[in-house]
Amino acid sequence: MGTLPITDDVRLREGLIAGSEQALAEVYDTFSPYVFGMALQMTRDRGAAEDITQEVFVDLWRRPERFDPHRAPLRGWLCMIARRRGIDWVRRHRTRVTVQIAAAEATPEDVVLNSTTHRQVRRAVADLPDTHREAVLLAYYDGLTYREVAQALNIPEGTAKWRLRNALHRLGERLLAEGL
Amino acid sequence: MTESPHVGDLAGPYAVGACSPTETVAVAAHVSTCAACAAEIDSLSRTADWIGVTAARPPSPGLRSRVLAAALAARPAAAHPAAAHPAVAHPTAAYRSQVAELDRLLADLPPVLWQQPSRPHPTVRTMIGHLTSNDGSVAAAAGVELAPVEDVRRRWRVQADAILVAVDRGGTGLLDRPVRLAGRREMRRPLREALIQRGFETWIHAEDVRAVMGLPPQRPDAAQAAGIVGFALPLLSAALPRAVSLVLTGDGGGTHLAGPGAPAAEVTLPAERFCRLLAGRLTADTAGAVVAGDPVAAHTFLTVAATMGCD
Repeated sequence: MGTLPITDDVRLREGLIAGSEQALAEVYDTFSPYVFGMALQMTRDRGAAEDITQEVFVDLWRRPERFDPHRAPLRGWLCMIARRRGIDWVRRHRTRVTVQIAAAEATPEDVVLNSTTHRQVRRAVADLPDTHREAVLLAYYDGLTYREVAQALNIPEGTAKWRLRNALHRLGERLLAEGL
Repeated sequence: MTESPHVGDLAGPYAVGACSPTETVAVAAHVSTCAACAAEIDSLSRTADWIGVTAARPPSPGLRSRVLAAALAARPAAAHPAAAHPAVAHPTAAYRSQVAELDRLLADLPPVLWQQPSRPHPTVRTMIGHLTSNDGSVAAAAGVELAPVEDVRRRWRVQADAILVAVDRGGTGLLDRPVRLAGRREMRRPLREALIQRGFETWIHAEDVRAVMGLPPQRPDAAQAAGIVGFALPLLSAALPRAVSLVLTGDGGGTHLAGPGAPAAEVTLPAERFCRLLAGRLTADTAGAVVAGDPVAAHTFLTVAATMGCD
């Protein structure tokens, strides 16, 4: 899709490629809450989340040219990598598909970021019908395939597929209506 | 995917990486040739990215030094990268200094010169009103609410200061919020980019006021010029039929590629003059660019560049 790159992403990528420590620090300061938050939400293990955060930023610093600002924003790209590593970790540490639905929804005890945008998105997710929210969070944070989601929720596979698609559509429409 | 040629409900699982490996390959193959399914998956993936935002929370302060040390151990930093990349500046830096500069000029502007024409605006007064109105969409996005102020200069300044305060307090979430940019094209970009545009427009109007007062022009500093170029080039690239290699000399200079494909021409000019061209204060013919390669591609590039201003 022909989306325009974010100017700051282009600037930061150039800085990283040039080996600017200042750019590295700015990238960490700007995006570490997203990377760490994603990893913590998935692993529910602070040590593992810190390790994943370190891997994600060290990897970006070593090969910044792999990030293409024309294809995705830097935040989304870093979150995607954090999520992949989180899924790897969760799959290695999950002996059975014992899924903690409650945990996927609950906010851990420490402080979450609380800007208007964060609150808007959080509210939009919370306002999804329970059945939809469960399916999306299981797939997103627990790294379950839709077949595993169907098993975990004891619903037909076709229903799990549909719920994932419909939940994302509803969420997208809501966020668009709110100007995000 | 068996009953229909399209992706159907698999679009949802695919967007969050919840398909089987076989299905993932099949969906990817289908999407490469089906624009409708590609558009749906792109939109669902962007929505899925937002879910991650809800989990954001700051890591412990100690992690910062650990991660930076591990990174620098894996790849040492360059000795003097700052000189090559002056653009690494705070998002409000250029706007803040241009607001202060324009306000200094307006404080000294005699009443009679407020009525002086300043092309393309009928008077300096209407120009400042126009600037205030363009700043307004950023103010609204930043949640700034102001009581009505009668005086044109004061109204502009109070709003600009309120934007700077709101951005300082708002942090990353606010800087990411989409804002309608000023200009002819309907375009929404994150607030951090709208701030570069605010600094850009404030500088060019300060130049306009200097011209009315008979004062010498002032170029943007290297960081602001680089910021303006970095802001404008992606927008400009999207509007170009053919690519041009842009060589900017002087403060804020550098070599850039604008537009799709291999470059058909090379255009060389000082970064400062390129900023004036973007603002519509120079034209393709008065910019003084040195052109190599296809003259039509170069002229198109310069003509489109001259439409990127905020007037």
